[in-house]
Amino acid sequence: MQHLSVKIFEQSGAELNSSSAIAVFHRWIQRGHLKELAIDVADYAHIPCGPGVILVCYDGSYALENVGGRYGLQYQRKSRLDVDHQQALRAAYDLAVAACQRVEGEPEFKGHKFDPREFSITWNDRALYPNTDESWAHVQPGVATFLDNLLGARQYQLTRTGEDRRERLSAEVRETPQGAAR
Amino acid sequence: MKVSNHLWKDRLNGRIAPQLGAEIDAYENEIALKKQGKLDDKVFAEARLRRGSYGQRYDNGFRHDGIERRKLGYTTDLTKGPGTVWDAPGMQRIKIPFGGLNAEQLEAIADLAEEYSVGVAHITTRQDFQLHYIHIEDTPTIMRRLAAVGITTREACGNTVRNVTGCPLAGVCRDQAFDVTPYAKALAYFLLGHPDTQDFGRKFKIAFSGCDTNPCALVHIHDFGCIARVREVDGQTKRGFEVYVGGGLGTVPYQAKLYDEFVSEEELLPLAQSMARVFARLGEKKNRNTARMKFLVAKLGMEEFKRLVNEERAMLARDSRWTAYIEHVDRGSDGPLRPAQLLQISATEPEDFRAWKASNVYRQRQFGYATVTLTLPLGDITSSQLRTVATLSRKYARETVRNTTEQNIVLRWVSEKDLPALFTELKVAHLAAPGAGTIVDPVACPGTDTCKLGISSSRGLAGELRLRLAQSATARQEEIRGLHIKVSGCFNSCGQHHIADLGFYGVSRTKDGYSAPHFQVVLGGQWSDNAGSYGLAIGAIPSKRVPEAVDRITSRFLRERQSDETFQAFIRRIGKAECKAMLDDLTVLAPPGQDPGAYTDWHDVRKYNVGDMGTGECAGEVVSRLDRELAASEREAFEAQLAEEKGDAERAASLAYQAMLRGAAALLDWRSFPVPKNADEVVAAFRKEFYDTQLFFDPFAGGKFAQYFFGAHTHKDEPHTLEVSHRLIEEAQLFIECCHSSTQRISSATLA
Ligand code: SF4
Repeated sequence: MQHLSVKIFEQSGAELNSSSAIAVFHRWIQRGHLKELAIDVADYAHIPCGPGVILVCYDGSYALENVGGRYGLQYQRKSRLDVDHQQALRAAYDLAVAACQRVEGEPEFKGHKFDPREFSITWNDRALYPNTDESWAHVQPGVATFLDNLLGARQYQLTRTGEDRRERLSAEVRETPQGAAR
Repeated sequence: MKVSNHLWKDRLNGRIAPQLGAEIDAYENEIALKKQGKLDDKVFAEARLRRGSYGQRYDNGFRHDGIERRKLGYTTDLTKGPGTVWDAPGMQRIKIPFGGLNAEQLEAIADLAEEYSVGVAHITTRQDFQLHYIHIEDTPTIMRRLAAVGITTREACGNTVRNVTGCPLAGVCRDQAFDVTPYAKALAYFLLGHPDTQDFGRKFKIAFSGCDTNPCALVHIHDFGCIARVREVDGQTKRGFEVYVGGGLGTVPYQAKLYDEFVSEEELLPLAQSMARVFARLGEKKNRNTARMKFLVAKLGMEEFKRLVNEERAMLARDSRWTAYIEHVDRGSDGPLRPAQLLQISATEPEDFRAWKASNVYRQRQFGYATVTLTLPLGDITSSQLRTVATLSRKYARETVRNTTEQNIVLRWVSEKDLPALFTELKVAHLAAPGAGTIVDPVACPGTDTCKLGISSSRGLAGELRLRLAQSATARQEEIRGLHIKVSGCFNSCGQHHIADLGFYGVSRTKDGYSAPHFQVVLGGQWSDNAGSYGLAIGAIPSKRVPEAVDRITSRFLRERQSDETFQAFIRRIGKAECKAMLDDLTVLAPPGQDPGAYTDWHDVRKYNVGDMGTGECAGEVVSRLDRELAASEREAFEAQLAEEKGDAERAASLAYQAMLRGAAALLDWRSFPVPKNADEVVAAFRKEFYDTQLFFDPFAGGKFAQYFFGAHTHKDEPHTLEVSHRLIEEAQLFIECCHSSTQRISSATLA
């Protein structure tokens, strides 16, 4: 699976302040917090419900964003990843979760909480993964296996989103109450 | 780089015009050859620029992170141009002739922005789109996907005919002589890839305007500008164009000059072709700084230039494309989808709708229809917003969308009755902000965000002004609302600061060895009358104090405006000395210990630096003397402006020259070279120590600014017109800016 994006939703509902995001991302670059090659910080916070502040890296990018009116942290893989579906999903998810934990630990974002059991997945390549029923049928088993391992079988809800077929293939994952009670 | 790139070629087979497809294949082969080391860096760079693939900031593989300048750890040594790392993200410019788009094209750009960039497309002041953070190996696929919807990136950059711009209201405008769209389109595609436009020394910019009073197409800042005119010839109404040549902004702005009061529609294309041939044959090729059309026209003089163009015209073999399109021009460039119906004015109109309608809705010449402007913050629009625009353009109009030179989007031919419904749908997509084209909608170039040449953060400043002005009671006043703010990240004026009421361009200043971002304030430029006149620089202000300056200037205008005085007239009336005095205290840069915030840029926490300058222990006393001398030369340049204002061309020219001479002497002194008493010797010493050694060379403009000085010295004893002295003043200001920046570069190189 290639070019996946994973967005972990912020739970408190409070705004992810863009000035703070700029400061934090620059600090990560200065202190070499990421293993990846970080290139720059891009500020798009002026766009309402947009991509917010982006830490642009060579292999992917991290954004503290507000797309769709929901704050969250999105990791988007840009470069090729020569691994199988499970590993690709795992890699994108783990990087997103690690970044969320790091953000939670930053003083500027004290009180913010990202729930790693509530997230979205986007397949950012229309040639490989068009937003069609066939394409969804093709990726769904791999996603289900990944989620079974992550959250436990039948402990989550996987919903295909992107009803507008011009959008990219995407899905949202939410742990069910049974899962949460485990 | 996308794994799927190879899939698109087959998938789009049959949807791409063969010629375009072949060109993209050739470009892809050039990429392959470059990867194999079989193509020279410069040759490849030229090839990609011609296709709109530009470099982006930090693509030399280094970045200052606020603590130190670090090498970015790309794993390949491959380059895509001199000093340009292969893997470094770049920018793809997408040419949109006269800004015209249909829904399918909007959707294609939305997809590309999402899949290859960061989900945002940026609209430029030339009505193009730009996508940032693009990998060079994705560019052929991007080009194929664009070609499949009828868009080419060919000649979007490089020494080519750039995007042909035109009024976004062409065809629906109440003031137009006629719809210029078909002419702009015909000329754009006629010159695209034409053999006569392939050997220019510099870019060539064309604009079309339907009238001469409104600013939409900014004809006077173009190499070749056309204003629609109709004339009675032998009892028949003939269409044609008033043609202007040799305009341009750039470092020193030039007003285009009238070439011909009336060029018939049949002669438009052959005239452009003839001019292109003269430009290709005689335009400067070696020195890019004097290679624009404006320099050729100035060098030859208009009469000789015309003679040469006519000579070329006489030799041209007839081309059926010159006139083939004319029989279709009366069909109009577009039309309505829904029946015309007036909007019933209602007393209960919601306030947000009323405000939006007042600023963003234009009543078309066609009864019952309106053009709606979508205000885009800093010219940015997300992929999902682009799709919304596509949807709404299908629902409410016949996909009649255009990008504007003010970095917004217009949707034409909306039935007035549909305005409330459209407003509601735009609101959901966050596209219903009011204030289009007003003071709260500043224009900004990419600046330090992504441009390699940016000195200060133009987008940061413009973004900050947007926010503050939206809250400002002063900005809400009718007299102030209509003012235009334009911000460029450096002297290259991509943000068109010369033609704004309040223009700003990025410069830097140093105190105690620390650099701070500044903006030169340029007041009183004229946006109307197709960019009728240019403003002049008043002084450099630390970036963080610019909002205060805007507040001060606008408040004073509001207070002291006489009857219906325009801003330009007000600035002229109070005079430049008074403008400078009004802002004088704001120009003071406090030491870093007192005001550390002044040493960072807007929306950036890094310690500011130019050219990765270290913070250093520059010899304080010596730097201070330099600073004093440079301040004195700035003062002289300013006095030159005052002399010009009084109509004293000779004194203005002399002061401008003296300012440069003083700056040159200051630099010699700073580097501990003996400073000769005699001007000839100062020039000779400066040439030897700073020009021949290239120490004074700007990374972008090379030795251009030193050449201004040499030119001023050579011609100092000749008589000066006001026009020449005006140019000398502009040149003196840029020369002094270069004195500042070169001392920073030299200091940092010494420290490294
Ligand atoms: S004005 Fe300068 S900073 Fe702005 S885009 Fe042009 S070259 Fe870059």
